[in-house]
Amino acid sequence: MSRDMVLMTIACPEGTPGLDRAAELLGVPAAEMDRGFGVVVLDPQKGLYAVQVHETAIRERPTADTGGQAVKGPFSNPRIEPFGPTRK
Amino acid sequence: MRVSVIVTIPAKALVRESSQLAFSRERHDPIAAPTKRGGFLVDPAFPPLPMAARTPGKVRLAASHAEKAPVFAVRGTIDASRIDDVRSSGRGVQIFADPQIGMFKDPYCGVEAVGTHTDVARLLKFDQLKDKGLDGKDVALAVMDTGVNLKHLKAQGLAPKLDKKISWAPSNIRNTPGDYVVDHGTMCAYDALIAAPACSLLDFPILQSETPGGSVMAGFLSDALLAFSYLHQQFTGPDWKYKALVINNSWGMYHPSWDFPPGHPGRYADNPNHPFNIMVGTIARAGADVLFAAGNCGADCPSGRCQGVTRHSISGANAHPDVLTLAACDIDGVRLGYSSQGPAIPNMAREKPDLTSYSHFLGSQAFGEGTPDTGTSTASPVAAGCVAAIRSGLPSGKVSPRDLFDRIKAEAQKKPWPKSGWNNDYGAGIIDPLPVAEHFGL
Repeated sequence: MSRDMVLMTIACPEGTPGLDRAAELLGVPAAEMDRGFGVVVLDPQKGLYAVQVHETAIRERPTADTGGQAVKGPFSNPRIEPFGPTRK
Repeated sequence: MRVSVIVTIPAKALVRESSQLAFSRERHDPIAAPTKRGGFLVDPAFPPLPMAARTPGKVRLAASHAEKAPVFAVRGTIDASRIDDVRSSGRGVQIFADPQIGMFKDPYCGVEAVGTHTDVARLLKFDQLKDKGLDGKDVALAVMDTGVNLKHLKAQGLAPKLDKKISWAPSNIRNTPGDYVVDHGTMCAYDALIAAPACSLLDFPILQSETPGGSVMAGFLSDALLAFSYLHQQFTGPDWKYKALVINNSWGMYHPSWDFPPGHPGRYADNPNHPFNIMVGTIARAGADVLFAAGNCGADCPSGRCQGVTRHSISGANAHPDVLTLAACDIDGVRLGYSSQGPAIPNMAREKPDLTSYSHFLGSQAFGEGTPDTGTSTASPVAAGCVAAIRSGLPSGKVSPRDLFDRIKAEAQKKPWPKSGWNNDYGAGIIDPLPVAEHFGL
């Protein structure tokens, strides 16, 4: 995963969106989406999904088209480590 | 069963005199006959102690001596089933618990192993669980870690099963389930197999995603998110063939500086609405048993990676209300000084850790001969193995993860004192799977 990607969530009650639809909901060009990450189902009952997007695209979105309550983020993506010994 | 109690009684001439004589070193005849109500038998070695009042607000120093005290406390024993007889007798008699107390052993901060995996199996009553057919058979146990090395596990005398069809790896590393370098993940797999040798391991090497050559085995939370999402799809899909899914997570975020700053709406540590925390809730609601290590930031000897932060160090998914969070003790029940203590970070589930499990014993030897399996990293898979063992007789469709975890906590061996309830070192106590199995009729 590239570190200039940011983690976002989108609400899409009509069902799992494709990347293009997710980009539309986010208000960013589809080319800015992280295709390797894809669209992750977070809570199927609530129609909630996670995606990753280029940070610059999120920053440069028109302020009038930020998705309202349907879009949340960016969220932290911290480093995680084992709680025990490692060889490195 | 007779239990020790403390009873307060109104001052009477005989009691007052007995108290005065006991402290005057003169010979006296203590009261030794059982009472009519409840069969309370006074302990003759414990003199009636003058109490200045029944409540703190009414204490007067002048009334604190035997000559003027309005109330006296005596110790004795009573049949546990007759405590209410005394309580209902009225006449100013009150009855109180007299709990056993003892020296608290200092938390263990040594380097050397304490006991072996054989001791852990004995403490978990593995033989009795196995006799009941509770050995993890037909249960999937996912190891979210650095990857598993089957050859090493076999060299240690185990016969592990691995389901290679259900596996996932971050995009920048090769997906070779069961064939990763011997490291932390192999240690965790070994420890899970102590109680559940017949479970099917699922290999998720999420802690290898950082650029090769990095200073530590590590990953990013988004890798865990993808892994959980993949596993959720498998678990809820039509081809799922196991009785239950247990997910072990011996990892976390060591320091708040790795996260967004406090108050940021996208922060992970204390945000139930963070995508990963939502994902954990989703898979738990679907019926998966999710276990997390509490962390190694205990106040007595925290890991250097904690950078001195030992308060509210249980955070993020490790403090999620739907997961079982494990603290660590040695085989003697002594808390390991590095085991993170509660309460958890505000805004998540306060009463973490939930439970304590065994660690710091000679087990996998993944880090060389004679090197112990340590950290809450070990405690969590030991407990995950217990859960998998129980699940081999109790499919997740029958009892939800929440109900199973509640029962596991209820049946825990109470530590550090024989009292029910949560404490910040041990949670509900030390895991004891056999009475849990018996409770569910297994």
